[in-house]
Amino acid sequence: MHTILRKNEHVVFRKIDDEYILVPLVSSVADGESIFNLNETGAIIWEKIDGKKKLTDIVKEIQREYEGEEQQLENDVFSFVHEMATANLIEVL
Amino acid sequence: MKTLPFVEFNTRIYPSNSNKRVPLDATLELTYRCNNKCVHCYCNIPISDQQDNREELTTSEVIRLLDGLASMGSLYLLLTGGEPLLRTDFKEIYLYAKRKGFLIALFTNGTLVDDKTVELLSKYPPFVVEISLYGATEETYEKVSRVKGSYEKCINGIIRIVDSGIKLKLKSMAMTINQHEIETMDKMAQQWGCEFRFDPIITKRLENSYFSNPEQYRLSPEDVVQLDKTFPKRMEAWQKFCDKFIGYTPSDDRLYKCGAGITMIHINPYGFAKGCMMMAKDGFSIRTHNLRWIWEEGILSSISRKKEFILPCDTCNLFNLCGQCAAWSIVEHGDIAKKVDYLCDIAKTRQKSFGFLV
Repeated sequence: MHTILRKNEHVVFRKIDDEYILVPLVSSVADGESIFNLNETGAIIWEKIDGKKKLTDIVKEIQREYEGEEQQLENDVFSFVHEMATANLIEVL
Repeated sequence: MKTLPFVEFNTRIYPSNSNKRVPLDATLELTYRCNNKCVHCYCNIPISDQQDNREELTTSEVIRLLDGLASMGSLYLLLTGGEPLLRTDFKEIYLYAKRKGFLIALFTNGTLVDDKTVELLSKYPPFVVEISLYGATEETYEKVSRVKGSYEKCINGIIRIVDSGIKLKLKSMAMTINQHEIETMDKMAQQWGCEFRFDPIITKRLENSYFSNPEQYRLSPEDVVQLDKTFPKRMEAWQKFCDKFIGYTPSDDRLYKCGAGITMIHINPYGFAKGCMMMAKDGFSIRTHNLRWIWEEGILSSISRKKEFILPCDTCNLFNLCGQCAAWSIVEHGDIAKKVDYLCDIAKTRQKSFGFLV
């Protein structure tokens, strides 16, 4: 919870029409056959990752900004962050 | 988060039922200069043309253009030419485009692919590299390229790219000079593990020039069909295409009925932006107009024009097979109201020869 998240500097966030995507610049982050597609909440979490905020801060901000059960929102953020870290799109410091 | 294959992602961003205009596909011709002198080329000019070199977009103009395209939602960026690797600022442009998040296709003749190019493309992979291969033998290739030693350089370029693991596709223009080697080129590509495609439809030059005279190398419609039939997968693709698109006549009076200016934007080496490369007489300079205005107003006005003349094609159910369009008419005849017999003859020959269309 107190870990800090940092974006992989070799990943570019883009909004294409109504879609949010992450475009890897280097081959170690992508297979070249697929693209990372975020929903709106995922895009908002991505924007909040700045290399300074703790994960717990991001969870609190999401809980403030979104309606829903707090534990569920926390689980959703954790799950999303875990996915991104596994895909090497962010670093957990 | 979803990891979507591009095929699936593309169905989301190119909805077939949408009237929305987003320039998802941007094509940027970085130069018309080329170190080859291909006989069939519609745009090449000599490498030594210093006047042309001075008129090309500068590095900072290209950078500004890329900023504009990214802000308007362009995703796929084709860097082509002429020979784009001739630009001394290619690396700077390429890296800038990568860092803006474009998915880059690079079209090159392969002859200038050196260690530094491979290092760049390996570290920051393009979406795809496509190299044009004009012959399976040195003799044939260089009859097309008209440059001694270019075949060996092209093959070396291909091998360097293949060995580095960069995604590579090979392609060729099929013409009178090399039609007998298309099949062998396909086999060479298979040995390198690359896809290969060829196009037998040769376009006239966009601007008159002594440098090439493409139409004299066009295949006869019969030879085009013969080549089609040489490749079972090509015939399968034609059958699928015909099942889906043949039998419909043009349903409206729009002059341009394709994706030009809807999802496509093209910018030539001098900064003229238009709906597609073939719209030779249209274009708005990014040096004198804001790019967003060009897209939202200028190109929209070009593609919104109504067709105010009658062509036999208007009631032809092979319309989709032939590819007749206003831009083709202008390039072929300089006259928007004339049909392109070259395309028409090939379509009719295909209709007669493809069993599934009879």
